[in-house]
Amino acid sequence: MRPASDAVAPVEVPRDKTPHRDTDPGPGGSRSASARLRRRVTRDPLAAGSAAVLLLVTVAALLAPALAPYDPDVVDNSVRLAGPSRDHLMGTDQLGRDILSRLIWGGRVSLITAVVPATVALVAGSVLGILAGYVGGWVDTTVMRVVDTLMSFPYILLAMGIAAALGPGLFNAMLAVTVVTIPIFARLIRAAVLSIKESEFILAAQGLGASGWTTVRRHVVPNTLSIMVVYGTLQTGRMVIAAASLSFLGLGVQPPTADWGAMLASGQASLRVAPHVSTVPGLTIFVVTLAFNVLGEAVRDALDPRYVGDLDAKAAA
Amino acid sequence: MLRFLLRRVTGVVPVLIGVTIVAFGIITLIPGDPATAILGPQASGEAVASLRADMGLDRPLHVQYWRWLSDALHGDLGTSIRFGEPVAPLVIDRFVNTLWLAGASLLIATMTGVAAGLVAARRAGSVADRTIMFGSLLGNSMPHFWLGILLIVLFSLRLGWLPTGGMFSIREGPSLSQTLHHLILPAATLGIIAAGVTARLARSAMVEVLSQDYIRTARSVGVREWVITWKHALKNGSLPIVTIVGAQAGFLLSGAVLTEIVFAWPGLGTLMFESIKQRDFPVVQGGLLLVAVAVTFVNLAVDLIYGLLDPRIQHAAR
Repeated sequence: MRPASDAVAPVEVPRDKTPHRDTDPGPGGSRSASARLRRRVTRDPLAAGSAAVLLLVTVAALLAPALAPYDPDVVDNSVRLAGPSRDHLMGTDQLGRDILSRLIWGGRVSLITAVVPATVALVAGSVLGILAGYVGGWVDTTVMRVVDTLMSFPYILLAMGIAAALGPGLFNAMLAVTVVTIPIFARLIRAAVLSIKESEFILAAQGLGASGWTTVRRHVVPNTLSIMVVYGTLQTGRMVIAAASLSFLGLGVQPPTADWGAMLASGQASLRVAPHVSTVPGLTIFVVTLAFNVLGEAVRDALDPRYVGDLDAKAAA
Repeated sequence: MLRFLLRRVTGVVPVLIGVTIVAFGIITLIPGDPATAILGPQASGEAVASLRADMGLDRPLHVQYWRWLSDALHGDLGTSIRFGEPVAPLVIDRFVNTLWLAGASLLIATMTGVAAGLVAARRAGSVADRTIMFGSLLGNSMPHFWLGILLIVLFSLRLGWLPTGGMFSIREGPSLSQTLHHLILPAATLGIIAAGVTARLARSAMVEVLSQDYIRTARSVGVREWVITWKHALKNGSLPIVTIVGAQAGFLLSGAVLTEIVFAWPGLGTLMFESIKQRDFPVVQGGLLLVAVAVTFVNLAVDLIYGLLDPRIQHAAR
């Protein structure tokens, strides 16, 4: 932050004078960010389909007790490894449990283990990124060295190590995925802040004596929000796979609780006779991840494609 | 040049120190006592105390770290609890197998990804471009373990063309041809997914190069399109491609862990997975350290190559 002595007379720049990126007229006209996003999603069938898929999966997970045709944990040895039929639309697993019911219930765990870590990591990574980018100096060096260190570890390997040390379980898996994701957000948001910091409106606010805290709160944060939304959405797709990976390795939620990654892993033993036990949950993970990615790209295109493109290059540098 | 080299190399030192702290610190995350975690709750107090003393856990944390780091610098990463063997040769042996897999996948990803990115960039906005980019998005969204399972179901179980896993068949014994035969499916799994990322990044690098004035000039004076692509565009677009290939190192090693487990490929990922299940923490620590140091040096090498190929980077770094 700027030293207090720099602030001769704290003058607050009126909020409506700040050229917020998400209210700036883009190249396509003078629409607001939300209107551009609505237009992008409704006119792009792929983005609309992705939004519909995510809505469907979320509603199904929320209404699992009402929608699931069977109890997801009830074992029925008479229908072990049965293929899709009228009684069991997606077949049954090696314990005769209904795969559709387990998919619906598993959606709760799988979505929570993706969305909660993505949100927590986004907030923590943004705070670190803003701190590093805006304050600079030794704070920036320290934060970035920690980020570089954590990013030297392959994502899944570090998450595996943390989850293994803490012990398998839903909370620990979420914690592991959060820890390995924070550096990604920190690096991206720092790149955005470095760019925004040089903007004339920030220099003007500082020149008028706004304190570091006021400048960050009033001008830096609102102008990084669109970047946060874009990368938050894109990263959630990655989190679905990361969380499923930990469950696949047995480090996530424990049996008999249904979870997509764990379902896929348990079906591996019966690939030869009943490939659907593994392929159906795998397809679900794939479709949900794809939906998050397509929607993330739509959000990016709607908010500010050129800026985010620049940011990619800076974050990669 | 020398200044640039020194700056880059010294910049790696704090990262390497951080890497050792994280790799060492993992064991301190174990709730309670690692010795109890390893021996189980039924172990006698005497056995736990003995293991604690063996592992040096009865000393202050900074002393433990210093001892572990000094040993690691001398190539001693401790002894595997499961195998009773030194960790260093164990993880290095398995890491070589992982490098086989990651190397083959990198080859597939670079060749197909760069070619696809080039086609997409040359026809930016066309149906071909949109199809390639959607294909890349599909690759990005595909879990390694699921694609691996699909390939096993198709090529091993249905068609019977390729083995389901392992590195060689027990009947024929280890040989180069056996390794390559067993490598096809896991390398394809990892390579196809990495190709998605490569194609996307290669496209954006090539679109930028193809919009340069010298390309327009070459076209306007009648230089043939393939000469423009291969001689001018690809040559100048190779710089960002070097970065892309380097950036894939971490991604490929992450993916290799899951791919190895699906295909029972005896690499570091499989070893780490088994060690986690058996609570063999010295191996987990050693494996993490080895991979992170390797990724750090790959990143450094990419940085240096980039600086050597483009002197502007050296000036910017000053």
